[in-house]
Amino acid sequence: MAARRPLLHLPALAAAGTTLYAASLGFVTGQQAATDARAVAQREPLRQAAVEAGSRGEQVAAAAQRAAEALQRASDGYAAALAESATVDEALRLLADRVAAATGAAASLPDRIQLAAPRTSVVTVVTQAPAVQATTGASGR
Amino acid sequence: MRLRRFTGRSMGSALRLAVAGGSTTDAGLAWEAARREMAETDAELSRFQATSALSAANRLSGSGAWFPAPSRLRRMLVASHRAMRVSGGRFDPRVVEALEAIGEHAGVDLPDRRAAGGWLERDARSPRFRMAAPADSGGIGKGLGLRWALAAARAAVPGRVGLLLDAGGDVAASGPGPDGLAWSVGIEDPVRPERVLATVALRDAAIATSSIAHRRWTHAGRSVHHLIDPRTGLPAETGLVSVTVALGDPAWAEVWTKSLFLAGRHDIGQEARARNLAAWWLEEDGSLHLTPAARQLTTWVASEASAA
Repeated sequence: MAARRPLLHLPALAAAGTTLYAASLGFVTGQQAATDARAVAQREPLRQAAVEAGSRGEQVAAAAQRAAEALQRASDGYAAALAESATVDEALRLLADRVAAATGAAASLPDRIQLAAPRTSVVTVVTQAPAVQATTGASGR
Repeated sequence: MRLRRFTGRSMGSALRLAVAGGSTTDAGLAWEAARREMAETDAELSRFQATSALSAANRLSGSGAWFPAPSRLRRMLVASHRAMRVSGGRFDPRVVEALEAIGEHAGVDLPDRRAAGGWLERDARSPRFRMAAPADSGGIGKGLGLRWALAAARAAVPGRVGLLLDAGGDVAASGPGPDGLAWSVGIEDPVRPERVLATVALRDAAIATSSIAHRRWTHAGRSVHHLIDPRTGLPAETGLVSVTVALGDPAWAEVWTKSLFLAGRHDIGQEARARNLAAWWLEEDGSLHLTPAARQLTTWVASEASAA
């Protein structure tokens, strides 16, 4: 009868297989991580460029907004000045009419006029010093 | 209110008292008190009397000797010294030498010696003084006499009685005038003393005038007067004829009339206004000027009345 050999090689094979699988898995994982890092590094400039482009776009939009507001204000000021100008024009026209009227009136005045003799009266103011009880003057008197 | 008047002479000029209200006895007591005080002041402070305390002090001036000063002399010396300082030297009691030099002789011999240093020293331990040069009591002496005489008269009568004391043109008032309000005092025209240039309402105050129109005489062939400029030692030529000042005290009214007179026509207005003095001054061209403080006391001005 053949002696039964102990089955020691089975656990040894199982351990060796497990070890080989773990090493393979670690290698594959490391390869993937390295590949991911390279991909991220390659994409970073593009990401930065995208961020900067977004910021510049916002600045351009703000400048455009300010320019639009300034234009609105200038437009309002022009409108107001136009209204005042119309008022001044009207005042100048009235003044011109009055000057013309006065010139005509002055031209119609006589060269000489006779004034009535002034009425005169003479008022005499009598002002005397109030009564005094003493006088101050040259010392020794 | 009844007005009673008294007239006499003291300190070389007329002394007049007007009493408003009170009884005849009150008025007599006031006059007697005022007259007695003026006489005692004259006896103590006159440089024209050889027996006065001032003449005795003047004889010792410049010798370095100390002299005891009775009450009135002491107060006169201290007031004069203070007036010298306050007026910046325009008021100076040492002008007595300049007055003697141009002919206003007191008839009392003065020593020729002069001591160095300040004019007046006071003994710290006793009421004794020594002077480097003789002194003139002059206007401040009369002003002090008026102050003391009015106080003596005031003490002799009830407070409701009004008093107006006039010592040769220096006038001091206490209490109400005859109308129950202020006394009315005229500022004489120095050229025509019978005429007044302005009238002033005075109550519990004094008024004094310095003028060069009357105390004039001829010396060495030229006309001189008694208002000496201490800076030159000669009669002052300032473009002014008279200066009047109203103030609470007659002695200081005297001090300021002289000081403002010596300020001269160009500076008197600014100085009087800066010190808030009630001052009237007549310039040589006959124009009367007055400060804002004087305007408040003035009740009538001749030039303004004639222009109305």
